Amino acid sequence: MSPAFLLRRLLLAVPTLFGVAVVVFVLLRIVPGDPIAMMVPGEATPEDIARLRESYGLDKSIPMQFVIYLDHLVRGDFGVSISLKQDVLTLVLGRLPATLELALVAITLSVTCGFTLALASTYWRGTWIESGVDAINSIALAIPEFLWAMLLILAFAVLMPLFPISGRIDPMRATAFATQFYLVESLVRGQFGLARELLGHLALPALALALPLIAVIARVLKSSLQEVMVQDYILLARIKGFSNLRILTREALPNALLPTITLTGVHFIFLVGGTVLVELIFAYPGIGNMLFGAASNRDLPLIQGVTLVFALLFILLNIAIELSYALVNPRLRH
Amino acid sequence: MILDIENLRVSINAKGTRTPVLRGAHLQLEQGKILGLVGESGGGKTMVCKAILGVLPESARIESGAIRFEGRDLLAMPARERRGLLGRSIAMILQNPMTALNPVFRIEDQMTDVLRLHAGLDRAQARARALEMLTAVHIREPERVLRHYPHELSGGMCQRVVISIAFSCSPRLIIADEPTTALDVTVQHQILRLIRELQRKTGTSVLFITHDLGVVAKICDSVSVIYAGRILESGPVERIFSSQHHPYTQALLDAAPRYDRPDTALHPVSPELREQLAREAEEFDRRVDREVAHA
Repeated sequence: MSPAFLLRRLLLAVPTLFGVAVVVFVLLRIVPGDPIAMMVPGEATPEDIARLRESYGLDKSIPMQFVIYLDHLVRGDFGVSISLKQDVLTLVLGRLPATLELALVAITLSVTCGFTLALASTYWRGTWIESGVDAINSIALAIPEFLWAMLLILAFAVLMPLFPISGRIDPMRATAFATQFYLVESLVRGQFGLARELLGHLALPALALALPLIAVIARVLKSSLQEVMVQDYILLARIKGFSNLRILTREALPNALLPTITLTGVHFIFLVGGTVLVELIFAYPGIGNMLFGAASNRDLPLIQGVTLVFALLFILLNIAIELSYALVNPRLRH
Repeated sequence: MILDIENLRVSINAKGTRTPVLRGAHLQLEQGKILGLVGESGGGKTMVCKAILGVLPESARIESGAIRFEGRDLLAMPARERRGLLGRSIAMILQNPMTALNPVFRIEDQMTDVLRLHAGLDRAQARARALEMLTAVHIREPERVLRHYPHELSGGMCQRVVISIAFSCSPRLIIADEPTTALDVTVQHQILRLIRELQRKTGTSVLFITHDLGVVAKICDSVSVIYAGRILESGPVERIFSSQHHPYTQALLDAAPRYDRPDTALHPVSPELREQLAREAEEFDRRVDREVAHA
């Protein structure tokens, strides 16, 4: 993959982000709901409201507002949150690491479990293991992540209180961190007790996000493995005298990866979107949770900021997925 | 006798119906010779070679018979021991070289893995042996070819690589399943010559599966003709070509273009003959069913 390709993809991200900014900006201003009405007490006079409206620039026309917004944006100024009275960029960057860690743990879990299930059901084809995996897949796929969140809370926090159900860490211990990447930082510093507590908090939300993706990965990988297993080169490997396990993992798996990576990438993006509801259910302090708060308060600058960050995240993910194709398929390297 | 197949009966069981694909096949391959197994598509040629290698499809069942390799029945052998023979003692050349190599690995990895598994060579030794083998199959610049991926080579080159893999562990039996069918005519000649040359040099026995009697005449010592899962006729190549005993063998000869008689018209195998052979096959199935019921 050439640097020119990378550069072109990154340049293409600019018009995409501009499009997202336009759509979100206009949508937020034409749907009913008034941020000023949400923040003023009942006894405020119309003059007070007009003054507030003016101070936030909301009295100007929508195109005018957008030009001002864009002008600030290109200078790195995302505006000030109406409800939290803080700089939007600082707020988003403060919360983003928590979401990234959650998504990362969830995707690791999905890939590990999905691959294991697909490989196991291909290896033990035609036995009860294959039927069992298929059944688990159907259930995991049929239930959306927010419902999984509720079910997991019921099972592992209420019936069997094994895991905490809210937050990221005991607030008393959160002061010990220098960055917002708590999990990464505790692992790097070798504070494994702390890491275990963080993972305990992550377990249920990550699992809720991962379960549908596990099913998707297992299903796609299994079907592409089955396609690959009837190819001539697998027959040749068998005739070379290799064991079934080696044929499956070394000869077949690398060939079956391509469709799986494509689909995992697409669904990972859904997973990041899914964090909004799951973070809310588990009171997990990520940007998803913040987005919900911003939406209920009609906090226009904050909603705009979070949406742009999500859009940027999606674009970067897509580029990463495309780059990974060349790694697994030598035919795409030129 | 390196390979002795006796009364091999295989059927495919799918959706509750049993279809015989090999009806008591007999085959004998002498040490150091090339035996041609000739027949049309669907005649059971590939089933024979899959049965020898133990890679029959899941729906296939071996009903009776023996496949003796160097005197030992492969069908009675423990699976692990049987797999131990593959690659080391028995190797195969597949029909389509473009799909026989794994697209995600370099030629080097695909040649050295089998050498490291069976010949106990380390990476450097296996690489040296791979280079030697590529030279033996007349590939120029073997160093460069080792670094290539299969999609960067032509069909003929891929088939040379596949042949060199088959010969690399000095197996005693090589099964070649239509190794020239997927190649164009000029390359076909080269590949046939190459197989014959390597076979003479190493003394390996070859079971050569083909639908082309011209190919048989060029490289085989003896030939067996198969139709509908039955071996209709076996014998040395000269005898089969000079005086056919079975009408089907004659029909096959009439259906193939002859370089020595360019003016004669080609005749497809006649429907009457096909019908007769199908009746014989059915008769055979009925007899087997009676025997089974009797037993």
